[in-house]
Amino acid sequence: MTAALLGFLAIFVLALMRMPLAFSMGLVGIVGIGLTRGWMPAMASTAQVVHDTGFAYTLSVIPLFILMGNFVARAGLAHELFHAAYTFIGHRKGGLAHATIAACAGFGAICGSSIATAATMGKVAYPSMKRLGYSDSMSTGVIAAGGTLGIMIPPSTILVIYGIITETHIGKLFAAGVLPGILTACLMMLAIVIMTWHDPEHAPAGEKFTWPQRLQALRGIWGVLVLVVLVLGGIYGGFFTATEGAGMGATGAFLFALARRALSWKVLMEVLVESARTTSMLFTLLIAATIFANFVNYTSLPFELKEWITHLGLSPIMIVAAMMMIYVLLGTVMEELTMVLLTIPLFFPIVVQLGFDPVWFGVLIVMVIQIGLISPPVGMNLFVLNALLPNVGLGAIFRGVWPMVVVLIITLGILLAFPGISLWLPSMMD
Amino acid sequence: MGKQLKKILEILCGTLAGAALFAIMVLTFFDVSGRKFLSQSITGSLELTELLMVVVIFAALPLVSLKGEHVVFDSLDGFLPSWVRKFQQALIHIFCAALLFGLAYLMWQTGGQFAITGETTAQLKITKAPFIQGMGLLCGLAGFVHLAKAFLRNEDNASEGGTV
Repeated sequence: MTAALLGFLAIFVLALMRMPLAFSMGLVGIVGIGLTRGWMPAMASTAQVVHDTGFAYTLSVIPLFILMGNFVARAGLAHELFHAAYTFIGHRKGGLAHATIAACAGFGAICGSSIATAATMGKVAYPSMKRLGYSDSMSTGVIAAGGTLGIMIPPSTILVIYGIITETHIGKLFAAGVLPGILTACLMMLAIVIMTWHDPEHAPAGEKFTWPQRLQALRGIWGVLVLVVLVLGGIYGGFFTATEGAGMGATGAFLFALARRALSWKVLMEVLVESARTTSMLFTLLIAATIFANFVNYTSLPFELKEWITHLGLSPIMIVAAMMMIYVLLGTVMEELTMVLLTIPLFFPIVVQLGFDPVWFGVLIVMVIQIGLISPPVGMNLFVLNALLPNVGLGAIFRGVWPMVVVLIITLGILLAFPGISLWLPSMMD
Repeated sequence: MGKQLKKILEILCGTLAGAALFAIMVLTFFDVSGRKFLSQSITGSLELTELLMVVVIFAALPLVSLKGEHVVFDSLDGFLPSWVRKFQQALIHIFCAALLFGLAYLMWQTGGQFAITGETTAQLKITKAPFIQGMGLLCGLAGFVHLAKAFLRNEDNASEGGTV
């Protein structure tokens, strides 16, 4: 057990010295296996992991979904989604904020990344809110929080990665994310209602649109609606595997962008290379995390932790709740994917042994990542908005986002207490 | 880093990784449509995708290093004087380079073993060794990028830091 704990400590020390996290995890994993099992096995297992992760057909789901999101983002769809939502609810108090959440949810159905959703919507929604006189903290808080819907509403990069490392059915994980995603969006809107009721001058009402105008606005997004229904419907209906669906979705998004004349050779190359870079960065982490997990699994830590926890005499749900609390706290200071990759080898076997559904745990993991992404001081969505809107200080963003952090923590509690919300849709796939 | 070298690296690795990713997309599309609608799949599409995935991941690796996109924990940066930070960055780059050279050597050796056994993919009988040795070469290239960043004056490009 000491070996594994020293391993975790070494990763933190290296990371604090600014060593890239993938390199820290990989190095500690290799040295750990080398010292405990011998250097030959360490080299052999490293080569094996690199080979197996590289040559993996099912893992092509990751770049393909990234590509799909990037094509649609470049096609300028976010504008239309936002405009469509605005025509329906913009005339209410806080209407633009509601429209932003709705557009984020819609964008999340194509894009699997929280940061990308926040960045895209930041460019689209913030200028409109500013023009109408929304306070900076209100608008950025809403966009940062809405962005996190990108990883709950399928497709979701994080659900794919969770599915891969825990060998959980990705289609079921996607199905499981739908209702929690919608619930989260609804609760965020409820929070906006309360905030605008409390502080009306922060979020004034916009103009009112006629029904023909609204239907006209919907026309701009039907193409993508069809794409979403085809890809996700195909995966849920068992017609496609997740990988096949991702391939079809990426091609559909490519054709969509092409039809809208959004792709020049230069833009196409940019999208492809950007997606490849994101893929490479994620796979470096994935390979390193696998090497480190192999080391941890060689040690007695997972077993002893399991023993220790079962002897605590806590009820199973309390144990999961405690894990969630650890995640929420860690998420305030750590990069979220790394946090999950480091802890899954320890927590996942316990959760399964306690008899919980891995699909449900996956949804909880996404929820704590959502919280981590917007909880100060280290919340990636907040930094992305800060970089995107340099005239809005981090302080204003922090002030605006905390009610949303509370909303997400409440949602986490609801998902924890009612597993049915996550598990109802996947249960229909059996 | 020398501007021209940087440009060459970007074009070379970018084209390789981008083209491979586009090929995966097109291949999956035709394979799936063929299989679902015409009951006819593309022979060896799975293993082609696997080989192309290797190209995407490893050809883009030097670019990730070049752009400093690996996830780092940089919250301490604000507390360190700039000379310490510069020294620390150079040191970390050398460390990363060493690690990548080690990995490059390991994959080159592994590729060599595959070459001896002559292992091929199951359907199309494509030799795997060049791809595994290619992994090694590209890891080595990424190592050189880190080495160059350690010794050449370059802009301080911190990571965006987010993966999700």
